[in-house]
Amino acid sequence: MANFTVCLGHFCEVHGPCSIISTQISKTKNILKTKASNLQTCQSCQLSLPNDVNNIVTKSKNEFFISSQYPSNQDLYRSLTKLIMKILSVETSDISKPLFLGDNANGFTLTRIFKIKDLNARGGERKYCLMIVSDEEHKIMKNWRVSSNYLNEIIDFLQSKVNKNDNSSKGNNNDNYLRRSLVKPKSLIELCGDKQIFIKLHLSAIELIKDIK
Amino acid sequence: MIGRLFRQNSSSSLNLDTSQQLPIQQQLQQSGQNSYEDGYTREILYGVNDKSILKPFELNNKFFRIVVSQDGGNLRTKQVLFDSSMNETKSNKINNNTKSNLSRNILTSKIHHNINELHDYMFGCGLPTIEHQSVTKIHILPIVNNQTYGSYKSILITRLFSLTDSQDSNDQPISDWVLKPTLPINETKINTNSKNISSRFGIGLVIPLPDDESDIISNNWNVICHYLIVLQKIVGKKLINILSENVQEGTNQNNYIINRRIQFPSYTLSGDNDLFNQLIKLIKLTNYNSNIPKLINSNSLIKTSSQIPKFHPILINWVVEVLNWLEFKELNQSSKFLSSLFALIIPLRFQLSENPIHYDYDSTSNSKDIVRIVIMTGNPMVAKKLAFIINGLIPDSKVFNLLSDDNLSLDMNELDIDTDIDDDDDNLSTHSRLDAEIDLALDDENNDAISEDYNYKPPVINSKPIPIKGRSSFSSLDNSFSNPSFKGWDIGKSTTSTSINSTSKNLPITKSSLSKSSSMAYLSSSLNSSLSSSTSNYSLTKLGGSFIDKWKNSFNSSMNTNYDNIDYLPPNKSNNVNRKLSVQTLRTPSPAIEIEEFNLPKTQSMVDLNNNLKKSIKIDDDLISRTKNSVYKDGTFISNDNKIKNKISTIMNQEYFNIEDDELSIDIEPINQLPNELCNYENLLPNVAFTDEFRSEFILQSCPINPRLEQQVINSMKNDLLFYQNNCKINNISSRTIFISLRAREIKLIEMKSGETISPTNIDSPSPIQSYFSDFKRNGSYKTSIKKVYTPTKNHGDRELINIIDKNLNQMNDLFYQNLKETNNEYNNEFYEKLSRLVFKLIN
Repeated sequence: MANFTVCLGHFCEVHGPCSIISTQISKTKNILKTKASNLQTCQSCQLSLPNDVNNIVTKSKNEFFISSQYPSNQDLYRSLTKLIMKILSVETSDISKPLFLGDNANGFTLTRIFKIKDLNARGGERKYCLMIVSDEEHKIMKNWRVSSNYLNEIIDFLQSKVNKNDNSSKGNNNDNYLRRSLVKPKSLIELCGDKQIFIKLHLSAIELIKDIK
Repeated sequence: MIGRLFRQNSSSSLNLDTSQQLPIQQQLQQSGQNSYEDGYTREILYGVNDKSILKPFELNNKFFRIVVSQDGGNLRTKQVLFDSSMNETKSNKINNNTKSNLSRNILTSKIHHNINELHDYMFGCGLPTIEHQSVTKIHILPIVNNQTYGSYKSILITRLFSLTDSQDSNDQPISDWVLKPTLPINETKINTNSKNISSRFGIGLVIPLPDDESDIISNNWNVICHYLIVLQKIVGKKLINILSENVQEGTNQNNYIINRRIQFPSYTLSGDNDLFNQLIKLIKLTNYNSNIPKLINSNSLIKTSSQIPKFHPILINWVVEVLNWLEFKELNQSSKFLSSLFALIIPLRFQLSENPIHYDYDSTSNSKDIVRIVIMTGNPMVAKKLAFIINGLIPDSKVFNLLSDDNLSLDMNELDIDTDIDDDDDNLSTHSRLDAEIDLALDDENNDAISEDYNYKPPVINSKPIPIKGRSSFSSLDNSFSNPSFKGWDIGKSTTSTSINSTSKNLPITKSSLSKSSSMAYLSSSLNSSLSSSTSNYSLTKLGGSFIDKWKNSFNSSMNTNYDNIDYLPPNKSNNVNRKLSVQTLRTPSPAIEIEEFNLPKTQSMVDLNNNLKKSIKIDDDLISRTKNSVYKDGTFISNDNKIKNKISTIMNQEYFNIEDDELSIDIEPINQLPNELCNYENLLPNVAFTDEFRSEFILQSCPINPRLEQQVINSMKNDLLFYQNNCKINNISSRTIFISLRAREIKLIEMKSGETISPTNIDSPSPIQSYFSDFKRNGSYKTSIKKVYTPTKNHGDRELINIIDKNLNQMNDLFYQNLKETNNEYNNEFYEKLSRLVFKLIN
């Protein structure tokens, strides 16, 4: 059976390309033992969960869906890191369309790059990618339509949530201009105005994995 | 100004040689009304009556493009080595130093993306990366608007690869994260005196798309992947050749290696005809694979026909077509063509259910077995019947699992086995061999006993290779059409008599059928091949082209092809089921009799079978849904889109989550009130009814008559061996083709093998693409054998198996007529169960 991982990557202005949350399926409850505060992250690339934990777990039948900032598997971690770096630092893509990328060294992914408005970010926007990663190329290709639909729906929701929460347009232009210089890491929770956004991403990723595995 | 534009327009059309224009494209302009696809055909072949689902995409050849570029090492320094959109005069040979003979046509350039834009997508334009492995990318390109050709959507498939002399680090991780590309590739290496030479190259394929890219790309990905690998090998080999030709004598320095980087001049490959031919191949590949709908897996439908909530008529239709073939296509009682064909296919049916372009990472054996079936015929009507019959024998476990209920196997076992067919003592035990184990040492004496432990367990037939008793040489190719006295089933190449035989008066001819002048020709059957000449009015060419064109044209036809009023309009009163057309009648074809020959079996048999025929055999549109390449259960891909939207909306708008947290994690229960699960889907096997030319990616196909067809098949079989041997490192490869020539009434088994058992005396001529596989194992020879399994005069098949199958078919026939006599066309469960049992013996 193919291994699928759904991951939200971010180009952090401090730490560069990194993973914020990755969801995978496992037969055992194999979670990260590190507290979130011990990871060298900033607000913008941190998986912010209650009680400083670093894992979200959902048991469905005999399987565990585990979301954490990084996957526990070292090989997958290495693949994921390289893929996020390539997607957010190397690739050029029409950000409204999915992009497939894969090789037999780093794995295969269907992803969509998207941007979220934030006046405190460089260029006034933050760059993310939502990706489905697998070790089997043909499984990614076979589920192209379903996967890309999920990516589109989740990204559309995030962007609309941020737009609703965006109060920057209410201030005058001078304020906006001055705030631009204050580059400040911001979590997706703050941008969306939704404390449960990572839980929602976790549950969405579960549905995606269930429908393509 | 206008004149100049016209001149440009005319010259711009030549991205492809006129001689290389596809028939598909040529015939699109024709306004033929050659609709031969009716509702019944769509149902038996594709499982749906709605022809809009099968409507072909219109893919403009001009929008296809191949680009080969090299990475110059710095950002934004990429050199184009080949671009198929460049209009080059073929008489001018490539000049490596200038681009004077390359001119971009104004109109042409406007219909393509800017090359720099493509380079950004292909190589990226951010941080440079150092990689040696091949990388595949797919970008959906921005829409190009062109005043002449309109706007179009397209996709860019990129293959990045390196030419390097460094060795791979085979550090495959030891965990469950094991990477599996669709097809593995053996990367091309270069040998230089320098060390650590490396350069990155990119191949870009631009393919126009309809609105939904999944049916073009994702459902045919293995075919595209195979094409990419072959193209990469070809380009790599060409570049290495150029590199090796530019070594300075004496110094041993290479002109094209600068600072440990290979740097070819721009447009180095631009005059290469091979690469232009690859563009043609890409166009054909895309058209054939995305536009020819795959056959629905009728084997799975038959097996599940009684289990799905609504009765599926495909089992009855399959039996009717088999019986009609026996009744009207066999030369005589002893000819046993169909039985011989079944006996050849059945032992190979599980190999036939494997895609020819597929690599199984889970396989533990170092072997690969590829089997194809090619039907050569000029008559699509006969071809579709035979394709439908053969397709019923080919299982597809994925589609079966998709369509079947969870308790299917239980239901199958619960079938009452005591309902034996009357007047037949030895039926079940004989045939139980078919769904158990083919044991050729069958004891006929035991056949009298009725087997009580007859069951429908999953197929356990041990595939037994058909024994090849003699070795034919390639000279047997000439035999295919050499004996005109053999009566084949194809349309003869002669002017067909127009006289109508008197016996045809009583035959049911629907009005709508007669009105189809073009269809009349197709309805010509087969019954006589003595009418051979090259002036046939029924020739495909005269009738407006190829199979695929007719397929396309059928969608443009204004003709009403409603299911009910074409093929299944029952005749009024003249259905005497016991009346058979005399042999003489059937051997005297005329346009009229040919129509009748086509219509009669279906209408007569089915109508006699059941008075409520039209209701009972029409497929309910709700049973399955499909696209051209995949099948869905309990919904459509559009319903999936909506379900996904609802799911995400429900999750994202949820206010409260049931959370339990501990020291390291928070546990969340899944949301229960989510919309239903998505409807499942599976890609169909690459089995098609009609194709203009032989395609190696199809398992089952019927092709027009072509004296070179057999050689084309053999060439593709050689390529099978080369590809899997060189890229997948498989040693024992067997490629087999069951080649059915309907005109010659021949069945051949062409077999090609490579592996340790091959003697060096059987080395064949090299394959056309062999030279591109630089590390081709010369000592890994292969052997070819061609055996005529069936001819009108000789039958070299497995006689015991043929007899078993023949008995089974006769029992099916008897059951039909018995049912007709006893129940007055009642179509009851008992009959259905008996029939199912007989059919399952063949197909299970």
